[in-house]
Amino acid sequence: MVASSVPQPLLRMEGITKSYGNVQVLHGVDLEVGRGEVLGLLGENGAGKSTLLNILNGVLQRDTGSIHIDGGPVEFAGPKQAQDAGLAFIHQELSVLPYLTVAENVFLGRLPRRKGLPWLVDWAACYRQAGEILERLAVKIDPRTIVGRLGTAEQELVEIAKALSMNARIITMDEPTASLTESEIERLFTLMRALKADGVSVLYVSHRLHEVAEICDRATILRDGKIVNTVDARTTSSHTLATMMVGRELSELFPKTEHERGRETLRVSNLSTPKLKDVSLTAHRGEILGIAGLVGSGRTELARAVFGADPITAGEIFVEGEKVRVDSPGAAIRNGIGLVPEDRKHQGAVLSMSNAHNISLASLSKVSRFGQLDRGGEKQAARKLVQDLQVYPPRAEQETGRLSGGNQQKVVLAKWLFAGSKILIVDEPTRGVDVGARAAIHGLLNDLAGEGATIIMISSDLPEVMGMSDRILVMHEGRIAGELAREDFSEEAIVMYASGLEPTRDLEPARDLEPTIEGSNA
Amino acid sequence: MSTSVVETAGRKTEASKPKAGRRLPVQGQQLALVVLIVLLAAGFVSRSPEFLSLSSIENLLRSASMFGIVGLGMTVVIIATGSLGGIDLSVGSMMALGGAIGAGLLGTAFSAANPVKLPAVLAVLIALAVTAILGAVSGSLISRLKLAPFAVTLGMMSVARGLTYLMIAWAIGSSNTAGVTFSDPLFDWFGLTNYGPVPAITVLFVVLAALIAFVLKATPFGRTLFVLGGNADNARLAGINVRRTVVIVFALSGLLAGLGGLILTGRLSSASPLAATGYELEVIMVAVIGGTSLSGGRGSILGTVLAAILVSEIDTGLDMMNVPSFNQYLIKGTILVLAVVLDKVYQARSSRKLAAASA
Repeated sequence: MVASSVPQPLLRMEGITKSYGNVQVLHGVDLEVGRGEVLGLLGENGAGKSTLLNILNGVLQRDTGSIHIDGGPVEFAGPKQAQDAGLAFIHQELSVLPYLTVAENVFLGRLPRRKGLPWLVDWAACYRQAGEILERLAVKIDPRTIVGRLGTAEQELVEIAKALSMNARIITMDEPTASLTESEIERLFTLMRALKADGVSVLYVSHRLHEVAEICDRATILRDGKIVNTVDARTTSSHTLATMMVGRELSELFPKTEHERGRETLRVSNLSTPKLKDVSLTAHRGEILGIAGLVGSGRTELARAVFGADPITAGEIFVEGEKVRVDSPGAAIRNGIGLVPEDRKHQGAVLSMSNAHNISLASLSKVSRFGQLDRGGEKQAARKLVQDLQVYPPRAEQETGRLSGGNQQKVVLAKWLFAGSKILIVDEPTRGVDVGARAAIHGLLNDLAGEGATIIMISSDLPEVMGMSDRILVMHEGRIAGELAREDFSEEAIVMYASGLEPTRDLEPARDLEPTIEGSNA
Repeated sequence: MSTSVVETAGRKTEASKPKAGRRLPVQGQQLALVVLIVLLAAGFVSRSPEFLSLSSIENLLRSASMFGIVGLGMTVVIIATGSLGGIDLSVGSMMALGGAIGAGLLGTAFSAANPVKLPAVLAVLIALAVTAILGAVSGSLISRLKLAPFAVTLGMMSVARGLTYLMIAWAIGSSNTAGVTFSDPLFDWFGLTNYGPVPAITVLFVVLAALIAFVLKATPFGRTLFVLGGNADNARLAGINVRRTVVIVFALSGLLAGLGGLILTGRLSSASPLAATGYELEVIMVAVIGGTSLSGGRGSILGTVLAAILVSEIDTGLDMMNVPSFNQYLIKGTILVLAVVLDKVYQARSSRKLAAASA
């Protein structure tokens, strides 16, 4: 199964390490890409893919290790040097300028100049040369077209044309198919095969495992900053790839406490927004409902829609069995729903205000009498909460922005405790939080569930979501792709559902899972 | 993925020690304003001794009260909507419109042509209602259509000026720019009445300032204004009705501008279509020099009151020293830009401190 190394690799990365502070994210990574090869690079969120690709393309500097192109060592002080050496990086978020023409985008910053009048652009040459490149790609786009009028797939082709115009020989594509439809993906793959034939190599990052089998020659799997394996992509099953990506036991201990699951508190039926398709779920008293899925699969959008922060186009929300209109966060709060958002610094806490002001923010009426704030009472309530939640330093007047991330998060949680939320949605509650605070936050969520609250926990951290949840919903492309009961939890199953596949083990299939492997994108 | 690693790596478990430094700069700024007011007064007195005369001080207080009342509205607008680029450029024209409606509806103007003769109280209330409604229109355009406050209130500035011309043309029956000249007890109260040495409108200003300071500091609504101005996203997720709040603050700004215009009309005993031209500069100066951050979420009413005195002192002093008006423009413009620079410096410093604290 292990694919042999390439005899004469075009690109070789050896022993790449990288640390941020005292956290090492890459532990001596070796990677080879052959000439005209499409190499898949696979790994979970946080495995180190982006760091590795950024080092390759000169965006980040490695700590140790070496990079060789055509057998010779190269050093990139920045992205420009990497470009000059024949590397191109096509990001998931396209960087074309929508108001310029295709040709201007292709030659951005390098527009051909007139001979003898170098301060003037030679537009004739510009369009001609752009046309030649597009022809080489067998793309029928007029170079005079304004890029904003093209579809996403065509804009991606413009990015590739730009890479080729710089004589790129190694093109990195980070999730290029994330926003493409089936037919557009086919078109991209046709183009990639043409590039291969021209001797151009592609480093292809995708979470869609079946695409890897379709387009890649080999696949390298990265996990926790180390290369796990490099395999023949065409003969390795998706399930094997998923297992290798995950491949670890539940390494951290989560003090999951069992509580009685009570009556239904929240029901969402057929909820749709531009980012969500027909999502239905129920949650209960005393339950921690985990929501897993890749970044961009609609988890945060689901949280925001239920909290009234984003408008919904269809669907109904029931709290305690009664239909409610949640058209604003204020309405959600009145119905006992709270949200601890992903972006703590801009949406969770007001950093310039004191802990007391942050804690009372969502329930100012509780600290007011006759329209006047009872600032003494507010301070007292806040003091009790920061002590109960062990915020350090435990001061009500402390400016929240001066606390560590974990302590800021505790203040955000205190806000919802003070508001008396019965349904608490927490989005990545422990991201960027140190180990001690993490355990404290987990303990707090468990306690809240034990006291009868409903917790909906979104997390990219599989051990966390598996350790904490009573039940897990896995999202994929705006839908609930699968539901797992606690006895069926496995990282493989979650990764398969999250990648748009069905787990091979015989699991309870979700109600609305599509029969096809890939959920339609249209 | 890499960002979360960076965050984890950068975080230290120990929280920084709290410092008492955060509150001081604002108070320091107010102290600096007092010092400036005294120093400037000394400077003006040394040049022209009559600067300290009773009539000069009375004039200064009237001017400070007028700009200050309008500046209170500007302060609230900037505190609450600074993060959205909130500013109200229409206040000068709104002042003119408020004065024109109030005076025009009296029907007592010399050479009055309009058939309407309303009691002064009613005329004044209508004037205030119209300017408040126009402010609310600006606010709802800004919050519902997510338009830039700069553009919306610039448009409103022109609309209100146009309405002022129409109102006055209707009141005097001709479309020249002469204006309405009249006499009325209520307007005299705005423009001439003193309680002892203190002008009536100064009392009004102090009462309004205290009222707004109380609302900002001690009511839930006031608290939400600071949150909204700090970060609109944050405010929305805390359940604050952002649209309604933005409409209210711009309506308040319109209302107070209308009141300022009535005061101006009372002082001059006439309403002209050209009244209060360029006054938005003074009003914005009052808010910004008073320590209201153009980025929103920070400001104080005491600062606005002091700045109103300072700005009027500069106006009065320069007039007394017979400094030509074009030089006055240069001086005032420079002061405004300096105040904004100081705010930026202060912000950079406090955000560096924040970053250092959470690193």
